[in-house]
Amino acid sequence: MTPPRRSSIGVLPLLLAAACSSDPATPSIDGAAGDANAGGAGKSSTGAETCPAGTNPHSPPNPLPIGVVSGELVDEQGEPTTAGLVQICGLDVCNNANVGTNGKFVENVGVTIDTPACKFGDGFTWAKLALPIAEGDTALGTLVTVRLPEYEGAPSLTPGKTASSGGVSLELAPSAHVQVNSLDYETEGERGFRAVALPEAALTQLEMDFEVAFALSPLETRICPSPSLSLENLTELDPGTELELYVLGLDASEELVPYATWSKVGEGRVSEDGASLLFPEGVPVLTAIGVRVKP
Amino acid sequence: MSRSRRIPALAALGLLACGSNAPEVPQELLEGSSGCHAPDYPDSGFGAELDDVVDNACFVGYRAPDRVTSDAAHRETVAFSDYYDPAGTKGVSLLLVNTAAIWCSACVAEHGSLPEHARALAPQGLVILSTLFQDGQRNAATLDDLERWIDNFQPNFPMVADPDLQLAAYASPASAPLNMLVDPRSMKILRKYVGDQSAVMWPYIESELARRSAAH
Repeated sequence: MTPPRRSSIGVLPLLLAAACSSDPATPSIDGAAGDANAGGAGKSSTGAETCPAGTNPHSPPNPLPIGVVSGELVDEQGEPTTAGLVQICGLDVCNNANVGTNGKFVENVGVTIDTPACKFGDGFTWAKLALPIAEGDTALGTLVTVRLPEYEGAPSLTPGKTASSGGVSLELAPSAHVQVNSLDYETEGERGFRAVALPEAALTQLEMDFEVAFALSPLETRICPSPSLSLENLTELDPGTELELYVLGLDASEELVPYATWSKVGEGRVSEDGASLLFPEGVPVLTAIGVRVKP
Repeated sequence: MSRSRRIPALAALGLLACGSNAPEVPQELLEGSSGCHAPDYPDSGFGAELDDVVDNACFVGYRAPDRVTSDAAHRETVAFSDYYDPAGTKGVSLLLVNTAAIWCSACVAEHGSLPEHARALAPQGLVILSTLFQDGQRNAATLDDLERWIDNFQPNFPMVADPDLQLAAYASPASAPLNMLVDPRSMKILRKYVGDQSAVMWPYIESELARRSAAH
């Protein structure tokens, strides 16, 4: 994978800050019904307030003829898994691949797809990730995915509270508006906050030189203003080290970040005690996140 | 009318006129409804290719989800035959059959803009009929899934569930969305687009609507 290709990356933090800058008058959590015009993935809910629509400019069309896409999916122990879903999806069409119990898939797509990517992991039991794919045939090799924590015990995303899971803490403002992805996550029990660190092998496949990366759930959930983010310093970075925060676009609506690429959304630093990686600007949407040392 | 008296009447309606606008079709009728009997519907030439006639698929959902609460009390049967308009008396000039699944991010993105297209082109006779066929984990779509979808996107066009993959006859359900244009005069397939091919589909629809309006 190449580094983020959009020239607008530098302004993304500003755009995202602007998109989530207005504090709703009262805190709220949505997730039962909807508002089609709300931000995020178009997956939202009722309520007097919604997060403002994202301001990410949509990617220019990039239609590519796709042939056979193959790979082998393994879990964090290297064992084959179906991981729920493997999809060859673009901005215009989505194809489900058939994954064998041996984790292998060979999908003869045979169509042109706009901004094609292989998405793997279902976002429910497994972390969902995406890798861009090129035109023609693509052999992805071994894809490593990782289990998310169980639903049971997952903390709720509550305004004024901190939700922690798997080395990730989100501190929600008292006035925060939580716009849960109620389309994918059907029940309250599925809407708790869950996070998991990606193992080294999973980081390598992303080719982004991340120090650490995490998968967050429920995917495509919006919180505004963005909750400040604290990550466990798993790689023992030195206190004060300056950092960059990236998020993965999994949403074809591209309201917040470009699809199937990693986009920088903020900066932070290692805490003075070296225990945490702190990103006060926060994360605008729950998806996969990665951290680089600032060059 | 009491509920006990209303049910037999609605049952008769359900049997005789699939797709009636009866607002409170009892659940037992909906679940058992397989015969969206339409005696005037074309009876030959069926197929899945261009110029073939589409079979009279019949679903449960909402004919006008923007005008009713999407709940069990307002579910109704919706069939292709509802939009069969051989003489042009129903005002249907073109039928766009769309498929969607919750797992399909392209479908989610597409449904962000469909209401706007429906609003703009309904006066010229475009009817969009969208079918939700699977949830986020590829399970058959339930009516609860359908209602969450409606709550999220607020479609202003008929939206139904297709848990039995009736539209798999026209394109593999492994790929979504499908957009299929049907001529309501004959119920013949005019175009099929696998994927959201907005750049070519909407210009075609607009030109076809204009052509039909001029011919009329």
